[in-house]
Amino acid sequence: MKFKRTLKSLSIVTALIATAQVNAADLDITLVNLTHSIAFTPILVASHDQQTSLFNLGETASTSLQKMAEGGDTSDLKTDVTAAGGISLDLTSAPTLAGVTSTGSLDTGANTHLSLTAMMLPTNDGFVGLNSWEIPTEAGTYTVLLNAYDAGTEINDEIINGGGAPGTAGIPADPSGNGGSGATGASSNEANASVHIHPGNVGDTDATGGISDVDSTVHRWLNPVAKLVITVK
Amino acid sequence: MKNFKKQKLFGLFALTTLLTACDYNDNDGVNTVIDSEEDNIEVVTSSIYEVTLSNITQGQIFSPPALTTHQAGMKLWQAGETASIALETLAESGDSSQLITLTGIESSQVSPSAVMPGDAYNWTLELAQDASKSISVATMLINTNDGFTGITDMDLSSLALGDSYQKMLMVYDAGTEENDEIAIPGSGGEAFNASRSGDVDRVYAHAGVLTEHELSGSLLSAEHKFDNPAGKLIIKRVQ
Repeated sequence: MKFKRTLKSLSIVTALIATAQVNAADLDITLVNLTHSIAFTPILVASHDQQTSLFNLGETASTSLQKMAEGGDTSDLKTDVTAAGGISLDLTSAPTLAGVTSTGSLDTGANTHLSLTAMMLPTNDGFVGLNSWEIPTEAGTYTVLLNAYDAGTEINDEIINGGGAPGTAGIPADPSGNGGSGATGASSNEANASVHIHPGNVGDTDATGGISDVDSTVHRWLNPVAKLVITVK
Repeated sequence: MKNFKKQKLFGLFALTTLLTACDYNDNDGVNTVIDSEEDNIEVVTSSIYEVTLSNITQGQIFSPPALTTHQAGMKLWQAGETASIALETLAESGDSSQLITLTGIESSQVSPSAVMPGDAYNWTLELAQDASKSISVATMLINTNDGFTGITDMDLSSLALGDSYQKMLMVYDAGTEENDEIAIPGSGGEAFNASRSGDVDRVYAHAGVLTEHELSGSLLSAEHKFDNPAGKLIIKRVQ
């Protein structure tokens, strides 16, 4: 256990004010969207036990995750969390733009782990994620940098056509207002059908045609895409 | 039974000091003495690790990954430094045969096949008590010119039984071949070429690929794009 903790501390950029031991965690949560022009659909934060996860690298996405990743719909994920004895928080209830900081509070009860998901727009099935992070038992402020994942459930054609339902091709929308139209498709193949690190948008610079409705000069990113600050009180 | 007791005894003291003589009470309450070096040698047990490398890219196949062990301090590559020919060969062709026979490598295991996106490869690594406990893992992203991922000189000596390390792996560029996206072995292009002209001749963090959409003549398509991390490495000590 000791070394697991040591390892985890590597992914924690800062750990401040380590003081008292706590049991039930009362958390303040802040998420900063670090991208240039990628919006986040409603951000779901969930606390749950060690056995529960919303997604896992290398595993096929659940239908609940697929709904979130392709259309931003977190309702099924929240049902899953509740069924597993977890507690959810809607950190936001509508899409938020790049640069926005979102805050909230969560009493995790007896739950020991924390997860977060939000679809990234404009992408086909990209999402920002935190997977089953062990909530520290020491009070303090912890920062975790989050990567962009690809649910592996939809081809990244980068065509903005309103398609957000599971199994419907295309991107629902571009809240940033930089999206184009008339694209022929940036990709016709999903090479990895399990959850993986998102390869990033291809995009182009043709607003009325080309291969992609995503703008390569504004809609790209590199990991990490979000900064999550968790204060354990 | 006797050996079992001795193993337990060794386990109790192995992490502290190698004692040539010590007293202990076993479960029967009988006082037993181990008093010779021979006994210590006899009860030495090896450490066993489960090492799992996952390919978490969208569409980059990993060449058969190599796991090596060596003395602490040996590095198969260093960012900012020139790549060895052995590393260049791995990074440009996926062939690890030179890398695993470098002077200083004490053991190696190479996967019999490539690791596809979404898949993982699992090694069982057994290290004798006195064996070096540093490992390196290396694999080429075969749809790049000279991109590779892995970890080098990772020390396992502090990993306790039952514990594990998880390491997310970034992609490096060997700096030994211009990223024309044509000399791409995974797409039928040239593999190893000894020339290093056109590149910076030092290992650096890979900048990603452009693909056919942005580079004329590129053999790569959108699915070959990648961002860090590209791999996930989990090392669990099981004995």
